[in-house]
Amino acid sequence: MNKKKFWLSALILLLTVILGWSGYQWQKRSIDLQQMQFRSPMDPIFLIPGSSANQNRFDSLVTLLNKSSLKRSLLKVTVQTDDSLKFSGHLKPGDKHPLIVVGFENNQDGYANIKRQAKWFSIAYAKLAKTYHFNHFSALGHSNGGLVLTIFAEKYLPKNNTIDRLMAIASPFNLEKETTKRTALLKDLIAHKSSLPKKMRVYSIAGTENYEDDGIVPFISVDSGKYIFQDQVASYTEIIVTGANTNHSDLPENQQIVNIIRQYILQEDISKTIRQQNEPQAQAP
Amino acid sequence: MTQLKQHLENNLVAVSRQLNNRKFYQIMLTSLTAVFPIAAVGAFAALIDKTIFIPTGFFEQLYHVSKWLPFYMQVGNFWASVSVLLNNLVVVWLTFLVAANTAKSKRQNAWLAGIVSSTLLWLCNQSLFTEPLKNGMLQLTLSFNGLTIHGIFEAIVLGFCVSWFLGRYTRHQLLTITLLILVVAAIAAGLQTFSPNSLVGVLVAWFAQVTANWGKNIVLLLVLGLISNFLLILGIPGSLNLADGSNDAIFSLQNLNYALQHHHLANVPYPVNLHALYDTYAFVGGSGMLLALLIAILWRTHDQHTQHTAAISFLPTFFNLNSPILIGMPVLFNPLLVIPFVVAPLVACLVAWLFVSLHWMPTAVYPVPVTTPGILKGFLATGGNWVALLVSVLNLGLATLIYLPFVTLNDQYNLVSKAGER
Repeated sequence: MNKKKFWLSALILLLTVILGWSGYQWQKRSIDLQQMQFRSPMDPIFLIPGSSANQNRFDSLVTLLNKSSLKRSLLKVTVQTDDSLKFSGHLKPGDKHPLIVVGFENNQDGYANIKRQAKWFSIAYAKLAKTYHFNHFSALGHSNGGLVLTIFAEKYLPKNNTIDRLMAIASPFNLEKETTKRTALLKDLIAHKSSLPKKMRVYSIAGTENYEDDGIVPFISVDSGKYIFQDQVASYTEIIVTGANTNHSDLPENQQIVNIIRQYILQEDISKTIRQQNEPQAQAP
Repeated sequence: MTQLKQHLENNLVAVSRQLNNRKFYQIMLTSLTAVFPIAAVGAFAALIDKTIFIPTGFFEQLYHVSKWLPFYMQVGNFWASVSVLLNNLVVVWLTFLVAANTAKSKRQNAWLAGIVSSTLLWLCNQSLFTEPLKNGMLQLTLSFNGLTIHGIFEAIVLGFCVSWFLGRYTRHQLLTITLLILVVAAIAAGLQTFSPNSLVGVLVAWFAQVTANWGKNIVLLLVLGLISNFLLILGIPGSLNLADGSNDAIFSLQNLNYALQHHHLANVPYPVNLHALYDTYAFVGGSGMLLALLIAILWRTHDQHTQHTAAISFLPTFFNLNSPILIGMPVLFNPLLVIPFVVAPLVACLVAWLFVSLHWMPTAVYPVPVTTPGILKGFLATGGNWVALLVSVLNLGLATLIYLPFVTLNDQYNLVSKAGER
């Protein structure tokens, strides 16, 4: 009888251990899933400047954006070459959608350096996400800044984090080449496109001074973004802006683009006239 | 101390003896132990249903049974129906037996009293009409959720009332029966129109409303646990006895949101709440830490009958379905077991509260299935914290120690079991 009791107790203990172990595995997966579905109230907007620009690149854009009723706080972060971070500006308490500019001490052009900048951005992101508790954000990148964000989205975006809206302004997805031949950058971006967040909405804006380019970046290079984003993300919209102030460096302050940013990235309730300007007009028959 | 213990023992035994000399008590115990077989089979059916065939079942969550088991829906429907039918039968049989046994003891028509009272139970139980089963089958069910059997108290009271009525008006029995049925049906229909819950259900809902914010305060939480478990031993289960995640659901949700946002459990907004303490640490083997009772019985009791009952009840109780031992031993209405049944969960709450307040372990935040083995609940609900597992084991050990002297007392005098045999 006692022997039987002993074996039964051992069996129950074994059962408990097995259930505990598989329960632990289940709970880890389940917490992961819940974290993925959870969206933090904090939801910042990152601004990434292009090559040879620093953390102050967007000052005039921010002034323009803050002309609207909503005053967003502005935080500027510079990632040094030794991976350390320099901060300026501050976040107002209670501001759930602040603007955060991330610039890089080494802001040179070239694929090798863009890759390094993506790594540096991931360092800044990890620090900021931990400090301000967010797991999703929107972002705007000018020129190579858009490439940095795309590489980050493919390679460094932490698990259970996601990008809601991404806007690339004149980002040369095929570098400054005016050909259909794919560069190493474009090939790499296409190779890893499956790891892009599936629910992300992407807006790619091209400026055209003439029929080919905005003075620096060819339209065909911006247009190459379709090979990366099309059928990979929730939506991919290309917008071509022409007219005054469509030179590559002027684009972030272009009134058309500012309105597009306010409508799509900040999701502000902009006035009807501006929205009509931005939205495609009904074609005359 | 020993003197105090002796004093307490004497008092308890005296109360138990006195109750045992009462006819109504004997009838209650005989009837309860008589329905044990059906309660045990029902509990096993509920065990299969609640662990595998509901979306929040323990095995369904862990092993995704629905993905690989062929005919999952159909098999699930089958087990759900079996479980509901058998467990409703428990209450119907109980009221039948109480009425019949009472009539028999007064040398009246036992069959008639039994049939009338079970018919009336079927008629007047409001939840009969309102409890829809998943998948839309079996609309006519009594409310049974596998954790505690509802309606025990009502069944017993009804049984006594019916046989009293029939005994009182023996000359016009047919007329009495017709009148009774008409009156009860009218009351039932009226209640059905005005309030969807049974009378006890309304009281329980009111109680739950009054105590909605008690869970945040440890003292009020203990009082709530005390009242709730005391009522359960009288056969009246409240919402606290379900521990199905509805306890302090708002606080739990806020805690969960915090944890998901910050990826740690250190500073959740409501570290003390009913769900985190009572459901997680004081519900090992269901209400009253009954797994501890089973361990104490299997460890120390010599009485074959009790041993047998405990062994049969072990598996369902391991997954927190404790109705067989509640009915079979019985724990219900047993004065010798009231103290540990009420005290063991309070001690468990207190120990868990101590550990949480001293920051020795995080609060239980992540949701776990109701049928999670009680001993693993803390471990899983904290996302795999070893101290939480240790606290659960410690609580089970403490509860076993609390139950042990009362189990020995029960074994020694064995009044209940003797009454059952009579």
